[in-house]
Amino acid sequence: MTTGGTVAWQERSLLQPAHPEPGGPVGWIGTRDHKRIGLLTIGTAMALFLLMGVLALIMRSQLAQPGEHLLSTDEYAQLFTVHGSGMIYLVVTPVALGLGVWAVPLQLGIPIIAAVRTTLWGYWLYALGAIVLLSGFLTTDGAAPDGWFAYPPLSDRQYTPSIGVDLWLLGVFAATVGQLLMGATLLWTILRMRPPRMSLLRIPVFSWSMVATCLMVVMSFPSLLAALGMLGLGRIDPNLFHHNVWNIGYQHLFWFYGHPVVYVMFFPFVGILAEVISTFSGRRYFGYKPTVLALLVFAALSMSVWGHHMFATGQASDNYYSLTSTALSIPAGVEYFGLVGTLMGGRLRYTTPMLFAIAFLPQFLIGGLTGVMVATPSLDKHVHDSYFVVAHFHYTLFAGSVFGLFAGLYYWFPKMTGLMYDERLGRVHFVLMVIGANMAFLPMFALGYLGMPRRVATYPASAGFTTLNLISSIGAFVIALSMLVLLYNLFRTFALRRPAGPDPWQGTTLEWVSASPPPRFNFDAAHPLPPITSYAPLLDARLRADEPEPAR
Amino acid sequence: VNGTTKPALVVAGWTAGNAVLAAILPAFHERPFAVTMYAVATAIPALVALALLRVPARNPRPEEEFTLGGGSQWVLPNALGLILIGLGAVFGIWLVIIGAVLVVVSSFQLVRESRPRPTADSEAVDGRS
Repeated sequence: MTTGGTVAWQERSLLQPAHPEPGGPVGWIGTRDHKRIGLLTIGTAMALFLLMGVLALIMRSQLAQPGEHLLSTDEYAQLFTVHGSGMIYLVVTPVALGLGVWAVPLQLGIPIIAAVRTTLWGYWLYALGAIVLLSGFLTTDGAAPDGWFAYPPLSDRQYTPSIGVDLWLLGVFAATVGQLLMGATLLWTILRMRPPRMSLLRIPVFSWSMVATCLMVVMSFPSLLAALGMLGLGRIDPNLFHHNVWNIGYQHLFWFYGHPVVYVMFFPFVGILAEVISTFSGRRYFGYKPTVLALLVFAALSMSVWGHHMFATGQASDNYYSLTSTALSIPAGVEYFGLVGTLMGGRLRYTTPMLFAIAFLPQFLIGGLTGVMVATPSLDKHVHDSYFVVAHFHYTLFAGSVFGLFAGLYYWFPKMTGLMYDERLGRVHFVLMVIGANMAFLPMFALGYLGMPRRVATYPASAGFTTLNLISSIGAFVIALSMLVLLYNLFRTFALRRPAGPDPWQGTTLEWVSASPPPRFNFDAAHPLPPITSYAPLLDARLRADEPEPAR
Repeated sequence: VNGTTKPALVVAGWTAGNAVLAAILPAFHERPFAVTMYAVATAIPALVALALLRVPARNPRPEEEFTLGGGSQWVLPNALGLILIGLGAVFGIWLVIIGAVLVVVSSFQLVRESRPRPTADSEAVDGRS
């Protein structure tokens, strides 16, 4: 059966490749399989995550005691710049998109992603951009030292002549173009390539979260490219930044990207939480429609809050940005109700992904509520550029998003690899992560409130920051220990090769009907698509199977 | 309202929300630069909504002719060429030349590989047998 020259979706899902991909590394380099592109993105981001963690450990070693001289001030500036830039541009944002590239076609029940070569091109621009950014460490003057937002005039050639800034600029530009392309193809896939029975209100929550994410990507990422272009011009002619309109203009352009990207690094993980909590509560996701609406409203509203990063400049409209930023708590509250409502009354299974998902809820709440505090101009002006802000965004991005990331990785790992990891080691990883994250980041609130500025390489013993900094540094090393447990678990899993089976969790969405790992075109004759009856089609199928047969 | 227009309406609604938020910004005495930036950015999702309306729900072109093909080994050289051109702005014109050659050659190959490649078993593959 054909429709307009194309194969009907159900038939297409059973296709075999006309031209099989080459095997080995060559096959991966030029792959047209969305799953491989997703795995390449996730793998690259996770390798960079470990590297950024090492940089964080060096910084925390420097700050563990007052007057420490492990690093010079300039070296410390390079480390916090690359750590911050790396985590945002090269780790959490791309891994969120990579998870989407891997999972969305599977969740929608389709064999391909839209414009697969563009998606692959996006991956390579991201990966090469990462190499360029990090190569700053190999230059005579070292890597960029101007922070992840590289404000001019500090970052123009007059004040920072080092070539590391140029490499940072080019690396971030390339990585951002790559992620923009990945976001655009993903958005098109969800909105235009769904199979006939996958109506908008049958799209799983994770895929909806990717719609909201990708809308923010296509709207906000070009403004970062414009800001970087402006910075590039400023590095050619520093006179450009002698005019206030360019300095403040750069900040507007930068933060028009810089705040929505926080939600690009948040929404996919809310979507993952929805899938994980629904699966391990053994029930349908609670409040599906309000949550979908909340995601879209949240995403739209998040485009209007950028100026709250500029309260301290005195050149942004405090009332508008404070109002829109505070209003974000309404859709955020709806999402939380959905997640907690799914947990309530469910038959909970405390697997590793579920534990990470549950821990996300209170930890992200700390980050979110302190976000409301710094969205209030009078409070923000007190804690601006202090460790309070560092604590706030680490609670959102690490204790929140990274916990959501691990929930997703543990949840989909059996599907990605076909192998089952050691659950006991997964729980050890979880416990150490919870202890480490809270030890590392909770004291930072107090440090900030006491007046410790961010981005200082050291502090005097008389400042009264020593004990809190020591606790924070110990917490960072506990996180590092948890990563060693994770690596050991990975090593053990690949050594033992315990098969996971197609649906080890009793999942509710279509990816769990496929083999583990899924075949080239996701669904084959042995694993055909079931009827798509809702956003939880496998749960529907199980419920139908459990129904007693009508009496004759 | 049908399967083609619904996604466009979702994106259009999202765009309209942003347009409202941009429209009230001047009432708070924000700088013209910020208002203009927000308004211009709002045009991007508006274009996405328009594209969704213009492109039919299913691509009439047989995607599998190229999507189901082998690998795309020239994507990496193409991206590398672009990066080298960028690095040329820092390290000198010679990198721009190498990058440009890579981009031209790989682009040619990418265009070539996107042309349909009929195979002996293509009839069976595309389900039209």
